Order: sequence, then C-alpha cells, then structure tokens
Amino acid sequence: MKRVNRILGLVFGGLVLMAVAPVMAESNLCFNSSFSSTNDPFEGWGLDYDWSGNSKQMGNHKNASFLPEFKGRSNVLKMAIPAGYESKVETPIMEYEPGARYKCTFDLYADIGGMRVLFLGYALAPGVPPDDLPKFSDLRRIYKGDAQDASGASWKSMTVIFPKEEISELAYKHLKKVRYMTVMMFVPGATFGAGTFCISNVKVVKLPGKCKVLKSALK
Amino acid sequence: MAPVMLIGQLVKVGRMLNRWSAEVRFTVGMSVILFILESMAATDIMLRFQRGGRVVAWGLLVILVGVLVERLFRVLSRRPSPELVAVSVERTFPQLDNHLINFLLFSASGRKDPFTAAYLKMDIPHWSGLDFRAMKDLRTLRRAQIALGVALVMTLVPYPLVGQAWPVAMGRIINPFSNVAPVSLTHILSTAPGNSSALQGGNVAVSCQAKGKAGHEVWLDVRSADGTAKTYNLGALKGRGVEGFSNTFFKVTTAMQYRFRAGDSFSPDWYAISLRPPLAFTSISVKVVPPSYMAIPPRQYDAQAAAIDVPAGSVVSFEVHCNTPVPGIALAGFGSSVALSRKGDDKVWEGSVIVTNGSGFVLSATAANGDPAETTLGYNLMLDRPPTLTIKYPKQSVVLLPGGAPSIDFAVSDDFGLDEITVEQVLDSEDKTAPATVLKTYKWVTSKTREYTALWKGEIRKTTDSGNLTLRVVAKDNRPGVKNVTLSSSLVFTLDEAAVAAKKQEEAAKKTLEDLNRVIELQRENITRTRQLQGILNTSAPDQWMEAGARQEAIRGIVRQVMEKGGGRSLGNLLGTVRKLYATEMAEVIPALQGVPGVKEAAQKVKQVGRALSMEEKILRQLTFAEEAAKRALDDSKNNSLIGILDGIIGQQDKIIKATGLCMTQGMAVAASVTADQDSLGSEVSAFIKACLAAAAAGQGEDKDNAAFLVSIAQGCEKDKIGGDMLLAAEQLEKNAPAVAMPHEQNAYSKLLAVRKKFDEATALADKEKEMEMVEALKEASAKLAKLKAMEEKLKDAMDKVEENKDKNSKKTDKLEEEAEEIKKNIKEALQEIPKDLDIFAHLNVGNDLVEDVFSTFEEVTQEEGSENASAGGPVAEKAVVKREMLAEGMEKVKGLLDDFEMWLGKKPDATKITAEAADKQEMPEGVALTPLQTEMNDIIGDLLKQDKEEAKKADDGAINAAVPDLEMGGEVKEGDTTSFSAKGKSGNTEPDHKEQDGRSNIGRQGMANGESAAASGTIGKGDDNIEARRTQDPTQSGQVTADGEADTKATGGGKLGSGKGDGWGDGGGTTRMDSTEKGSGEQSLAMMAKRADSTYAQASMKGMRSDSLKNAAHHLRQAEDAVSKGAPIGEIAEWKRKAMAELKKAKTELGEGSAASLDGRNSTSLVNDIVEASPDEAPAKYRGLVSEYYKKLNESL
Repeated sequence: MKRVNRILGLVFGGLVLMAVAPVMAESNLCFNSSFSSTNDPFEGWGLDYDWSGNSKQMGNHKNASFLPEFKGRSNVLKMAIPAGYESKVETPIMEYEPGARYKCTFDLYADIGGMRVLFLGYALAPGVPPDDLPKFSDLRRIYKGDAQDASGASWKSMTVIFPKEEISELAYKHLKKVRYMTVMMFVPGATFGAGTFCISNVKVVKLPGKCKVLKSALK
Repeated sequence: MAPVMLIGQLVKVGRMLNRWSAEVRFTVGMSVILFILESMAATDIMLRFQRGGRVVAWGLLVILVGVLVERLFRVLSRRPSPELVAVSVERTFPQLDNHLINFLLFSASGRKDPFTAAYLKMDIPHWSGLDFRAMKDLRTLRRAQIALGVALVMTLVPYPLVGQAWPVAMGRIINPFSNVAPVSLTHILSTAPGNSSALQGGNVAVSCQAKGKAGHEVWLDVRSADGTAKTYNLGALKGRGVEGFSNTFFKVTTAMQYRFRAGDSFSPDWYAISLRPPLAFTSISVKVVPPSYMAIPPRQYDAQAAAIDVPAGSVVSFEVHCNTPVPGIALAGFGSSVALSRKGDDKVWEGSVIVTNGSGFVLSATAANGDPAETTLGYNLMLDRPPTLTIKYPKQSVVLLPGGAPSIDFAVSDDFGLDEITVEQVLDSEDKTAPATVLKTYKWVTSKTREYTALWKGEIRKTTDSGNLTLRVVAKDNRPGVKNVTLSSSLVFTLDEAAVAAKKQEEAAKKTLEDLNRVIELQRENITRTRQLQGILNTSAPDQWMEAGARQEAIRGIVRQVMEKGGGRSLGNLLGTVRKLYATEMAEVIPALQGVPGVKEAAQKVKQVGRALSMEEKILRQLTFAEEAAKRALDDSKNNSLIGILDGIIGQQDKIIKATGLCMTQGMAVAASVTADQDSLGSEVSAFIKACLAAAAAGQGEDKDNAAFLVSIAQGCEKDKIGGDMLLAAEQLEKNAPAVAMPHEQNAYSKLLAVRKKFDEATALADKEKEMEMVEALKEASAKLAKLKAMEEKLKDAMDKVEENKDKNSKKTDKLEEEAEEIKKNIKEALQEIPKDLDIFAHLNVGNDLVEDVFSTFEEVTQEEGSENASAGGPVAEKAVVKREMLAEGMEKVKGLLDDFEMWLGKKPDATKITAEAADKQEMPEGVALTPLQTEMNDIIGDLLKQDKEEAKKADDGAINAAVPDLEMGGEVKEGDTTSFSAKGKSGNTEPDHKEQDGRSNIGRQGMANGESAAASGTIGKGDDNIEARRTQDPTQSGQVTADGEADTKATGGGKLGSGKGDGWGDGGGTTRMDSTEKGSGEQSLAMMAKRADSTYAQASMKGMRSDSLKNAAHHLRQAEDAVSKGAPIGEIAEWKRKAMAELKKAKTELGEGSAASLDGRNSTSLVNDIVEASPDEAPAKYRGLVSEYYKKLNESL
C-alpha cells in the first residue's frame, strides 16, 4: 500500500510539475517588479510627472512610499491620494513586440473606489531618437488597453491584458506604431476623495500568439 | 615778688617750653617724611610707579607735611596757664617745694588774711637761681635729631648705589606731575603715531625709536577692542645709538590700543587707535527738469538706485549727503565741471547743472583727513533727434500720366513734437539745398504732435506738362532755436507721354520675361549638369561642383535683378514666393553643390547631391510659375495706363461740370481757367485716342483680341465725338454761357463713362474665364482622385490575389504581380498629375496659417453588454438643466488654459438626452474670451460603440447657447451639458450629437460641425453621415485637416478643410466664428474687416495685382480679433490693429498703382532688403502704450 501511495504521489507530483513548469518558465518582463532594487525601491517606475507641467500631476512622486510589509504582503508600493488629486503609478517602461499580447497580474489594495488599471502603448515623441532606455518624457501615448475598474479595502488579485485578442483596423493603425508599454494604475482625482492604494507582486508576461485584426466597417 | 611779675615770668617759661616741644615735633616729623619719601623713591626704583602711584605717594607726603605743620602751629600757638607752667617748673625743680604753686594760688584766691598776705610777701625760695633750660627734653630732642640725621643721610646713601635713578625717583615722587621717566639702561625715545585714528579696513603702521643696551628686546603690546591681546617681539637692540622698530596691522577692522616696551625701559602709556569709516555719499538725490518744449514732467531720482533719464538740455539738480563732513564736492562728467555748494553743515551739498551731452556724472570729494570718495552716476541722455520721415509712396520714380495727380504718402514722427512739415518742389533733384517752392505746409502752433501721417495730393498733371516733377518732404521739429530738420530723398514723378510710359512699361516687362526665360534655361542646364555629375559622383572633380555652384550664384544674381526692377511688380503675385525662394533655396543650394566634394562618406555625398538637386528642381518649378505670373501681370496690366488716362479725364470733366453748374446756379461768370481746362481736356481725349491706337499697334502681334478692343475704343471715341463735345462746351464757356455748355459737358462725361465701362467689362470677362478654369481644374482633380481610389481598390484586390496564388502557380502569380505593378505605376502617374494640374493656381497663394500638433490615442473599450439598444439598456433618460448664469458670466473671463485630468472612453453609448435652459440673449456677454490653444493636443479615439439609431437620435441633447472659455477636462469622454471654446474635446467613441455646432473643435468625427477646427492635421473618424454641411465659399479660415482616409470630410463645415491626402474635399469653415458673432461686438467688426480684406485680396489676386499687404492685413485683423477674445492688454490689440492699418494703407497704394496712373520707371533696391527686414517687429513692451497712442491718432487721421 505504501508503495502504491508513493507511486501515486510521484505521478501527482509530476503532473503538478508539468502544469506549473510553463508558468514558471514565463519570465517577468517588468523590471524591479518587486521594488527590490538596491538603488531605489521605485527604480524605473513612473511616479514623477513633474516634467509634464500638468498641475494635476505635480508632486505625484511625493505621495509614494515603500512598505516592507503591509497586511500580509511584502515589498509594497503605497500611494497616498489627496482629495481632488490624481495619484497614478506606471510600471517601468517595457518594450512592446509588434502584435504580441501581454498580461499583467498584481495584488491591489485600495481603500477608495473608482481605480482604473490598464496597459498603455507608447511611441517615441516627435524628434526623440530611439534609445534603449527612453524616459517617460520621451514617449507619446498612442494606445490605451481595455481598462479594469478596481476597489475594495482588501488585497485583490488584478489582471489586465493588452491588447484584446481581436482588434479593429482602427485600433491596429495605432497599435502598429506602439514601441513601448507600461501598466498604469490611477485614481481619477476629479471624482473621488482622499484615500490610499497599494500594489505588490507585479508581474508582466507575454502571452502566446498575436492579436487578430478584424475587418472594419469603416470606409 | 609781685604775683604779676611771677606770672609774667611763667608765661615766658611757657612759651619757651612750646618752642622746645615744636622743635622736637618738627624734627620727628621731618624724619618721618624723609623716611617715607625715601622709601617711596626706593619703591619707585623697584616698581616704577605709574603716574597714579606717584600721585598717591606724593599725596601721602603732602598729608604728612600738612599734619606736621598743623601740629607745629598748634604747639606754637598754645597758651599754657601760669599754674600749668608752675606745675611743670615745680616738677623740674623740686627745691621750690610747692612755694611757687602756693604763691600763685594764694595770690589768685584774693584772700586778705594775714597768713596769705604774709605768704605772699615772702620770696619764693630758690626762684631766682633757677635755670629753666633744665626743663628742655634734651633726650627726646636728641633722639629726634638723630632720626632726622639718619633720614638725611639716607637721602644720600642710595646715590652711590643706584646713581641718578635715586634723585630721579625722589623727584618723580616729589613731583608726580613731571614726565621724568625712571632711569633705565634702555629707553624708548618716541612712539608713532601715538593716539590716532585709522581708516576702517585700512592699514595701520606703528613705530618707535629706542636706544639702550645691546641685546635688550623690543616688544609691541596690542589690545584690540574685541578683547583680544597680543604681544609682538620686534627684535633686539644692537646698542648702536637710536634704533627704530615698527609693525603694520593690515585691514584693521576694530579699534585698538598699543604700546612699545624695550629692555628695562619704563613701560609707557597705552596709545589708542580708533577707526573711522571711509568717506562716502550716503544719499544722492537728483531732480531732472526737462526743457519745457519737451512736455516731460520733472522727475526725482535716487541716483544711487535708479537709472537716470536726462533729456538733452535738462536742468539737473543734486543734493548730496556725506557720512562725514567734507570741505567741498566737485561734480563733473557732463562736459563741464562745477563745485557743489554747502547746504547746512559740511555733510550736505547741493548744486544744479544743465546737461546737453555726456553719459555719467562724476561726484568727487576729499575729507579733511585725506580720505577720498568718488562715484559715477550713469545717465541716459535722451537727445532730441531729427524727425523720422518715412515715405510710403512713392518708393521709387513713378510715371505721372496726364490726368493724374502726384501723391505722397508719408509719415513723420519726432520724439518731442513736430513744428512744421512742408511738401516742396525742387528744380534740382540732387541738390538738397536748392531753392524750393512750397506746395503744402502742415504747421503746428500749440499742439504737441509727435506723429503725423498724411496722404498729400498735388495738382492734376496737364497734357502739356513734361519733364520731371521733383518733390520732397521737409519735416522740422519743435526744438527751440535751431530746429532739427529732416529732408526726404527726391521724389521724382516722370511726366512722360502715355504712349512713352506704356512703351517703357512694356519694355520692362519684356525684359523681365527675357530674364526669367534666361534664368529658367540656366536652371534647366544646371539641373542637367548636376544630374550628369551625380552619375559620375565618384570620379567627378571638385571644380565641376564649384562650377555648378557658381552657375547657381549667377542664377540668383539675375533673379535679384528681376526683383529689383520696378520693385518686382512685373512678377505679379509670385513676388512673395520668389523673394522667399531667393532667401532660402537659392542661397542654400550654392554651398550644397560646392560642398559635395568635401563630404567624405559616400552615402552622405549621395544624400547631399540629392538634396541639392531637389532644391534646384524646386527653384526651376517656382521660376516657371514666376514666368507664368509675369506673363499674367503683363497681360493684366496692359491696359492699366490707358485706364489711368481715362480715369484722369473723367475726373477732370466731373470737376468742370461741377464748376459750370455752380456758375449756372450762382449766376457767376465762368472763370477763364475752366474754359482753358475744358479746351485742354479735349486735347487730352485726342491724346488718349492716339495712345489706344499706339498700344493696339504695339500688341498686334501678341494679343490681337486686345488690340482689336483698343482700336474699337479709339474708333468709338472718335465716332462719339467726345473731343468735339468738349470743344463745343469750351466755346460756350468762353462766351460765358454755362447753361449752353452744360449739355455738351454732360454728353462728353457720359460717353467717357461708357468707354470706362467697356474696359471694366473686358477685365471682368478675363477674370471670369480664370475662375472657370480654376473650378474646372478642381473638378478634374477630384475626378482623378476618385479614379485613383478605384485603382487603389483594384490594386488591393490584385495584391490579395498575388498572396493567395503565391504557392500555387508561379506563372499566374507573375502575371498578377505584373498587373499589380502596372496599376501601381498608373496610380503614381495619376498622383503626379494632380499636383501638376493644381499647380497652375500656384499664384493664388491663399492658405492657412494655424499649426497645431495633434496626435490621437486609440483606446480599447469593451462595450457593456446590451447597451446598444433600448430594451437592454433601458429607455433614454431625459435630464433637464436649468440655465447656468455663471456660465454666461464666465464666457467673458479667461483664467488661462486649465490643466486636465486623465480621460477615457465610456463603455456604453450616450443614453441621456440633456436639455439645458438657454441663457437669455440679453444676458449674453458682448464677446467670448478665448483661451490660447494648446500647442499639443491629445485626441482620444476608439471604435464606435454600437447603438440603435433611433436611440441615438432620441439621446441627442438640446442646443446650448452658453459656454465657458475652458473646462477642466477629466473622466469619461462624452457629450455634456456645457461646452467650451478651448478645443480640448476628444473624438471619443460615439457619434456626435446633431447639436454639436458650438465651441472650437480639434478634428473629431465626420459630421461634427463645431465652430472652428483648431487642428492643422489629424484624423477624422467616422461619424454622423447625415448632419448638414455648413458651406461657405471662403477657404481661408484656419483649421486645415489632413485626413488619412478613414472617413469622408464632407459636411464638416466647422472649419475642416480636407487636404489632398484625404479621400474627399471638405468645405471651408467661413470667416465668422460661432463664438464671435454677437452683433455690435468689436470682434465682429474685426472679423468682418478680415473677411473683406480676404475678399479684396482674392479679387486682386485674380486680377494679377500685387497685394500681399491685403493678406497681411487680414492676418493682423484676425490677430487683433483673437487678442480681444483673449482679453489681451489694450496695447497688444492696438498693436495688431496698427499693423493691419499699415498693411491696408500699403495695399491701398499698391492697388492704386495697379489701375491708376503710376507706372514703374526706374529701379529700386528696397525689396531685396525687405527679405531681411520683413520680420514682424513688435514694439518693446515699454513702448507699447506710446505706439498705441500714436496709432490711435493715425486711426483718427484716416
């Protein structure tokens, strides 16, 4: 009986390993996704929007803080949201492979409603030469993925995918110009009051296959 | 013995005893004093008393002496009683056995008893033999004398031991007020500077002279005011007589005390050095009083803080305050020098000067202690400059035909006011001092006019006038005494005959054409050679490229000559284009060609040659257009001279009719001049007929139709006997019969008008033909684009087929590929043809100026399930909104461009019908303030959400008539119940509501009919196909959109003007904007003016006239309109209006030249200079007010 159990255990373990292996093989495309950089826990992350000159985003980085532990999660980015302010966070800039699809998963804790999470597609701003490490100010937003709404004062697992499996010709016209991408989490300040949100365990992986372009009814 | 005698003897004894006692006391006192003196002197030798110590010691001695004297006096003045003396005597001489006492007592008691009497009668035993000297205390006296002797000896004993120091010490104690120093081996002889003051921050040198024993050191003790003390060792004496020691303290900032010490020399007193601040001017107050004629109010300055403006000739008053008294202050630097005078104490000085030159005042003073102070106060000398005279017309020599009047358009300005302007006729055009005849004087008596502009018109030229009419304008300012005078250059009006003038013009035009032909040929040749060189790029020699560059230089030189001749008028409307070409490509291609050999990398070399060739081709293309424009200009102006003569005759005839009418009604005699004029006018009609025939003969070979037309005109004039009517009228006028003359005059006048009408009809016909040509060409282009679209579809199919058959049948694939290639080739050719077709209108250079960077972001949206129809999404909700009065209020206010939050597209279509209560018209503001447009605009676009058509229609919101300049955008993109003019709206993912006809949009979806499209390029998304177009005929409105073919641009009346890259043509947006059409508003009038200027410009363009100024005027009017909308400062608005007005005036002159009597006769170089100088020059902010005031006056004068 013991032998049978051992064999069954091995078989079960093998099956589990086979199931998990592809996932384990997926590499996380997001740099410093666990805020573990020794230089700066937020290295690469899009927090400082002072360069935009938009008064609604000035000082955004001052609302960010790093928490080693928070309600059962380690290495957490906490964003304070002053009332009437638009707190936002973008993952480090990642290169986008034309036509490819990506998935981002992360844990979110938000004590305020109306959060939006989405992929953003960027092209280089006019006059900016291609660079291995473009800055946020070098990019021009030309594509926005399907946004997910989030709220609830407890840790939740979030998933956003970019782009959709099937996109229109109009969408494709923009998508084919996308060179870089990020995942943005923000709380629209125009609508909501003060609060905080936290994120942890960010992971961006590439999905198999490419998106399909639907024939558009447009002329 | 009688008692009296006894008492007398006792008194004597008592006195003797007193003397002896005084002697003892004196001796003892002196001894004590001497001992103390000696001990003090000894102490001084050892301790070297300061003066204080010496005074104390001296004081002690003085007290002792005082005590001694007092004691002696007391002893000597004592009167001892006889009894007391008797007691002393009894004590000294016991043998008296109290007899003496008894005797005295009995005698004093007065008793008369016998015993007493008997006792008194007895002699005192032993009395007579007494030696009273025995009563002297010799022992004490002797001791005292011994002490005194010792004390005296002691005054001498130390001398052999300490030498001179002993008597010096004794002297120092006896006289503490003497400056005798203690005797030492080393002496400090002198110290400098003693008690003194030093300049704060300066250096202080202290020194001493010392003499003494070799090896003795010299020290300097210093105590500064901040409490620190220090001793410096200055070295040792060498024993060679008087030696000097010194030390310097640098940059002394605190007061201090010092003293020198040397060896065993007595330490001298401390010397103090106090600090004094440097001499400075604590305040300088300057008052500038300009000369009265300048009308500038006096102004007070703090000269140390502010820049001083000094109009030349001003009285400048000074009041200078110093921190320390000074004996005097000198003022210089303005071409002269004066001394200021004292005001109150020596610290305050004043004075005034008249300033006519220089650039800075120099104030200098020296304090009593020698401290100097000097300061320079710069000032801006505002000179009274000569008046600035600008001649706007004529810019060069012009031909004045009979009937025409010379005119001068000039502007004069002076910094402080004008006195007189004269228009003068001179005989010698070169000599400015030649005597002149004043034709017109503009004189100011009391006015402070600083700017003046006028259009002067002279007498009409008569047919008999010939030669040159040389005029000049002289302007004088209001400076008292010798006035500043500005003379214009000679303005020459050539009084050629019409035929000669016409011929000259024709020759000039032909020469231009020849030059252009030549230059075009040269350009073609150079392109060919450049291509050849391109073929042998690797083997080509540097000289060959240099040669190509030199040819381009020659081409540029010829073009420059063409532009300069006659002010470039012969180039027609393409003058602006050619000027731009001259300044850019024609200049750039030369170094591009000559620099080819210098490029090392092959790829770069190829690129540079390509760039040079491209520029050469552009030059050729533009020059070809220029040639075409020159031909048109020649063609269009061919009859201008004749029209000018005719207009002059008509004008004169009109005057004669009026004069005749006046004579008729007033019963006056006809003036001889009227008769002469009428007679002369008949001759001018004959001259006009001759000119028509001459022009017809000249143009016979090239334009037979026009020649025939002119012949018909000449024949018509002869047939109608216009000249005859005039002669008949002249005869009747001569007979003083104005009533009889009048019908003849009016006949001639009406016939002349008929002739003028014929010229207008001929011109109109030609214009109409051109318009027709243009419309035809546009239609053709449109048709070609449609064909291209079809071909594109075909190509797409062919490519798909190629793709499908790729792996199946190679032959079929090849054939399909060939087919596709053929279609591609056809498309390419057809596309090349379109711009070629449209380029024939290149000389109609109307266009849009607005440029905006617009980019769109696509957003994915998953539509909410069932939201597309009513059954699932629920019925359309209706929402009523009461009128928002604050919106109407806000329409006039601009807070600047507001920043926005993140925006996104909604997941379900609009299912709310909003009906907003309209604001009352009375509540509406006069105008709407517009925010400046963003330089960069991010549009958000997405796939259209599906929606039931009926539902969409139901959800259309009501129209809104109130809006705000800007909104703080954020959140979901959707139709709201407010609108703004900030052009921030996003295209979104829903079809536009039917009511969207307000504000300013960017691009939006097809069908949006917003007030004005702000974008210069962008993508038009699919929208409402059925919305009405708001068509206008004016294509000059801003907001040209480069559509990328996703949707038709039809029905986009709100300013969207589709470009050639789109798949259709949009409509012009109209000149008047939705946001600026309130009746009576300033903006409305500006918009109307702009529209009129546009319209006139278009007409002038079609007529081949040079009228760029009109285009500029319209542009400036729109800028003024925008400035009003933005609530810009009045100065800015005035600036734009001023520019517009200047351009309109210029245009007026230009257009006047086109049809009136002025023809180009000589060369001018002004236009090439304009290429550099033509950039807009806004007045500096500080002069804006002045400039606007000037143009306000100018405005009034028009």
